[in-house]
Amino acid sequence: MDFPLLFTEQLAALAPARQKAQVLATNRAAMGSYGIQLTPDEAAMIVAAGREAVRAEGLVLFGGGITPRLIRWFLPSGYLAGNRYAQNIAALTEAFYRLRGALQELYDKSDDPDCVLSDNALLDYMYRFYTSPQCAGDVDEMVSLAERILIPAMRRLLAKRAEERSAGGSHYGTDSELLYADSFAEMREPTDLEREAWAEDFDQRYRAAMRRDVFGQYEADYVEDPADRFRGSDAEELERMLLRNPELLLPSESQEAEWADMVEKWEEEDAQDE
Amino acid sequence: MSNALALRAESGGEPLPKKAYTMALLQRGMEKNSIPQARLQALHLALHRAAAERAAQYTRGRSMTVTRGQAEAFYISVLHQLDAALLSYGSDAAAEEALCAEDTDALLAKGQTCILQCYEEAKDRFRRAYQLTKPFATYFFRELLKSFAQFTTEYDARFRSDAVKVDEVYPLMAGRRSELPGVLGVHAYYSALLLEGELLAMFEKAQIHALMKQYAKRYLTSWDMIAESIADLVLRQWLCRALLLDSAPELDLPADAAAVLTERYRQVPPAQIADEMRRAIAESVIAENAGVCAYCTDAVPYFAETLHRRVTENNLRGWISPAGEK
Repeated sequence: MDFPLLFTEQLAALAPARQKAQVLATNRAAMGSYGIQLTPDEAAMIVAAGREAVRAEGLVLFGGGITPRLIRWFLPSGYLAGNRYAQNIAALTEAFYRLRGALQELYDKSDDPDCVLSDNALLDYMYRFYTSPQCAGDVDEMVSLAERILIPAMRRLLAKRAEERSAGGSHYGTDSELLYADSFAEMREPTDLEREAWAEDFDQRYRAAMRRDVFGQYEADYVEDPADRFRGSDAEELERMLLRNPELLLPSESQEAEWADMVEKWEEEDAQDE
Repeated sequence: MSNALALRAESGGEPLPKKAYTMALLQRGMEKNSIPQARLQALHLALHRAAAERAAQYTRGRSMTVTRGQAEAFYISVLHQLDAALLSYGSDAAAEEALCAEDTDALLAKGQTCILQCYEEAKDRFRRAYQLTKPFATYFFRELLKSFAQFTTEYDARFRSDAVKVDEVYPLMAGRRSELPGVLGVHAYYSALLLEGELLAMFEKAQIHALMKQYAKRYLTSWDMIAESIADLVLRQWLCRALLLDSAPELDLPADAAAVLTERYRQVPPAQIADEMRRAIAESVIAENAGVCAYCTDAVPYFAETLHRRVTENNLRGWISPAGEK
């Protein structure tokens, strides 16, 4: 069916005025803790930049833009202060949609509905790269680092999961198995207990890997080894970790829940100021 | 309800195309100015709400940003849902009235119910069709199992209802093809397979097997590699026998059947041949099953036209299998 999206596209995202109001609502938190704020013109510029980025990346927004959340997330970075606050936020918003577009393309092509990197997880990765010594607040560096690490990691993860599905999955042979494939698929669905056990196991492995990366080299505090001076940056450590364990690209459910609570709290605070 | 829906839609009595039915109704309504602006706006909002719900389900609630292609798929999925609801009204006028007057969310809910009902019915109908056709299942019929397994396990998993289809590697009688989109089209196809299976069940297995072997031998292939609809072979054989002899559910034709039919029907127009065929169906055991009777009667113009053409070309022998044919 040829479907012109145009007639509904204008409904999909929030109206620009509403988005602008949401962006300006972050001023209270920004001014209160960091002494910076956006003017109405700057907010309008950021909203326009976001909408243009969404259009350029071939995306459609259902609901509000990412900018208010992004502002709250990146305020503690220390790189937003100064007279380029608005420009940095606009650049970060464009960077988010660029990465989102690339990830969504992979997700659409895959046959794996559960392998989606959430907006919060993407913001977290962006923040980690943005504040790393390698990028030090440079948005372009951050984008190129994220594209170099996250996109191939997602590709590897999708390929690994596809391989696991085809290896352990449908070996339907007989007519009955094909005729009743949906019943067989339901029987193989994991129980709630199994799901909980897997989630717990995933959390433990994720935390162990993080701990190893952060504290694994503590011996260097006591034993000086010249080679330690040339140890890789955080981004490189992350890249190596994801090469070994691509499944660790997706954060755990408890981490997602923690972020969701944090975002909800921000939205409630900002709603009072709108 | 759903069988009548599919058959009525397939009979070609409605002027608007069944594919993209809602869009066709909206287009006509806007051209005629019969749908108020406020109603159009309300419809847009309802479509958007339904698409947003799909977006949330698609990304498991983790993002509200999707690609343009996927957003279009959501809207198409919602429109298919509306198509299912509006097609059930049976006429363009009634559907347009429902589109203007009924609450859109109620229409969407009705469409969702139609679609789920179609999905479950489609699964059940294919399973029954498979059991009925199994003694005569060719390679192409058995190949349907794979796409059926995929249909039942991955149906609309990613809200790409346009992509919900099955490989129609096994042709239907009289060259029928479904015009309906998504699960409605699959439902129509499997319903037709069930009717063909029920038709085959009215004849003796041994006679159908003999017919298939004769046909395969004529075309230098094996019986399980026949690429045509077996119901088509059986019905055309039976119709020719009914025109010559009687309406008993038998498939054996006398050795000179081709010559006799050619002589008898050379000057007879296709419409008259069709009338005789319809009479034969009405007087036979096929009439005891209303669905099969309607299905076969719908195919009569095709068979009458083909018989007339072959008789005119003196080429009937390749179309039927008389006794003693080498």
